[in-house]
Amino acid sequence: MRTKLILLVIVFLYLITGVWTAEGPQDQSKDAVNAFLKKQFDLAVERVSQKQYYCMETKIVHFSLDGKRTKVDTLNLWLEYVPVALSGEKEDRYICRMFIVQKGTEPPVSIPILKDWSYKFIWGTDEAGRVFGIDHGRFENLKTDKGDILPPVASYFVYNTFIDFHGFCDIFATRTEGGKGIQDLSFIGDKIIHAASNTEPPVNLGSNVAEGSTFKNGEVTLEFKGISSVDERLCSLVAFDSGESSFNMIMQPTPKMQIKTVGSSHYKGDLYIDLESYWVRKVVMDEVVISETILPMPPHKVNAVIERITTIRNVSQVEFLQR
Amino acid sequence: MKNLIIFLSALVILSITPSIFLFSQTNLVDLNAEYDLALFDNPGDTSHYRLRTVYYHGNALGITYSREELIATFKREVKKIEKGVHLVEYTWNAAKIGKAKGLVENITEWKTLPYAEGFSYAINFAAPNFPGGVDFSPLPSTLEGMKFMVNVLDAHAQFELLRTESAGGISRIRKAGDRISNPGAWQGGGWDFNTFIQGSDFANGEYETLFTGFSMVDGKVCAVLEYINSESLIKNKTQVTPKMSIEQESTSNFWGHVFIDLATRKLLKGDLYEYVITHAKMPGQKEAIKLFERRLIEIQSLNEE
Repeated sequence: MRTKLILLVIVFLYLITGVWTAEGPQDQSKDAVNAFLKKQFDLAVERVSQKQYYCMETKIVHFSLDGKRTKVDTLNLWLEYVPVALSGEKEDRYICRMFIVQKGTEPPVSIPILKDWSYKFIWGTDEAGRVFGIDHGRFENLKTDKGDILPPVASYFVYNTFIDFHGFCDIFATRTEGGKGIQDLSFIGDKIIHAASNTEPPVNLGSNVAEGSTFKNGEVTLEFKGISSVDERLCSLVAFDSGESSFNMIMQPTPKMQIKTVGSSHYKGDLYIDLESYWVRKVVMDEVVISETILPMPPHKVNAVIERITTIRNVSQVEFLQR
Repeated sequence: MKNLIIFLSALVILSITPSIFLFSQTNLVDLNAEYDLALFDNPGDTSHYRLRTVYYHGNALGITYSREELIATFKREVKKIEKGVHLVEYTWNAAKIGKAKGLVENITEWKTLPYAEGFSYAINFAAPNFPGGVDFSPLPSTLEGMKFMVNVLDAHAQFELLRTESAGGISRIRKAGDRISNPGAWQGGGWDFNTFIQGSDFANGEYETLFTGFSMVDGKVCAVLEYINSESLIKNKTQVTPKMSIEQESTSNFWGHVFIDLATRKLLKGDLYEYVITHAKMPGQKEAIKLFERRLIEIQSLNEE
C-alpha cells in the first residue's frame, strides 16, 4: 500500500510539474503564455497616481547631402511628474529638473532658465495658443550656463523636446477623446489610424518662429505589437508611425527678414507601457527630416537632412537624482 | 489516504493558480525564460512566402511623388540537414511590378516579370555564401531585373541570415530584452549585378539586434526580433545603357522586425523599413543630384502549398 501511495504521488507530481508534456521537443511556446497573449487587453487604464521620473535623450544627426554624417547634437531632459496630492498646487505638475545641450563634440551646457521650471500638461492647445499648455515665453532667447544665447533653431529643438515627450507619452499612450486612440487596441495585432492623423498643429514659438508655421501629420497609426519587458516589468508594446508628414516654418530673425523652411518628416517608434501602473516605461523613436530653407540672401537655398533618435526612459528616483 | 487526497488537492490548486494569474494584466508572465531563436529546419520542410517591396520615390523635400511595388512569392524547401550542412532551396514565382503617382494612389497596371518564374538557388545556412553563391545571370541587366535581384537579397538577409550564428550571433539573443551588436556591423561586400551594377560596395554601419518581446501572428505565439542598422554606405556605378553610366553614393538607414513562431521556429512574418539618401552623378553634369527614397519590405508566410 505504502509503495503504491509513493508511486501515486510521484506520478502526480510529474504530471503537474509538466515533465510529461504533450508539447514536441521544439515547441517553446507555453499554453499559459499563449492564452495570455490571445486575451483582450485594456491599454487605456487610468495611470497610478504616483511620482514618475523620466530621462529623455534626443540625438540630432546632421547629414551632408551625399549622405554622410557631419555632426551629432545631443539634448538631455530630466523631467519629473508630481501628482496633485504631492505637488502642493491645484493640479498635477511636470517639473523640468535639468536640460543639457551638447553641440557636436563641444562640452555639454545646461539651460538655467529651465531648471525646476514646472507646468501643467493639457491636451491640445490652450486659449493662448500654447500646445500642451507649454509656455512659449520660456523658450525665447534661451541662454546657456555659459551665458551664450542659443540660436533660434536650437531653441526650437529644446522646446520641441517637451512637445515630443507629451506627444509620445500622453497623446499616443493614453485614451484619446473624440477619436481613435490607444483605447481601441484590444488584441495583439490590432492597428488603428489615430485621431491625430492629418491634423496640422501650429509650431510657432515666440518671436523667433512666426505664426503660420505648422506641422502636418500624415496618417498616424498605432499598432499593438505585443508584450515586452523593461527593467523586468511587463509592458505592452505599441508601435507608432507618423506616416508621411510635412512642415512649414517661418523664422523672423529681424522684423524685415523672413526665412522659410519647408520639408518632410517621417517618424516611427515604440511605446513600452507598464501593464501595472500604465505609465510609459520606455519610448524609442526615429525620425528623418528633409528640409529646404529659402534665404533672402545667397546661397538662397539650403537643403538639409537630419535624423532624430529619441529614447525616453522611466527611471527610479535614485537614478534620476544621480544626473 | 484522506490526508493524501488533501495534499494532492492542495498541489492541484497551487499548480493552477499561476495560470489564472496570467489572465490578469497586473501579474507577470515569465519573460525571463530563455528561447532558442536560431534558424531551425527539418529535412523536407516546405513553406511558401510572399514578399512585397514598396519604393517611395521622394522629391528634393522628401515628399513622395511616385510609388512602385514589387510583389513575388517563393517556395522554400529544406534539402539537407547534417553536420556542417543546412541547405535550403528557393524557387520564385508570380513576380510582378507596378507603379502609381503619389503616396496612396492605387496601382492599376501590373507588369509580370517572366524571368522570375522558376528562378532558383540554394543557400547553405551552416556556411552561408550569400549573395555571392547565387547565379543572377538569368536575370536581365535592367532596372527591373536589378529590383528583382534586390528583392532576393532582402528575402534572406534580415529574415533568415540574422538568425544564424555567423551572420547574426543568434545564440547571444535568448531572453526578451537581450540586445547585441550584430557580427555584420561595419562589415560589407560587393553586390554587382550582371553588367548593370558594377564597382559596388555595401558597408554596414552600426548594426544591432534585439529580442523585443512576444506577439501573436495568425493565432500563433511568436518571438519578436528587431534589427537596427544605421549609416550604411552604398557605392555603385549603374550602366543604364552601354554608353551611359551613373555613379552613385548613398547612405542607408534601415530597421525592422522578424516574427518567429515559438512552436516551430519558422518565420511567420517580417518587415524592413529603409531610408536611402542618394547622391547621383549623371554623365556630363558637375553637380550631383539628390534622391530621397524610402523602401518598405514585408514578408509573410503563406498557408497554401
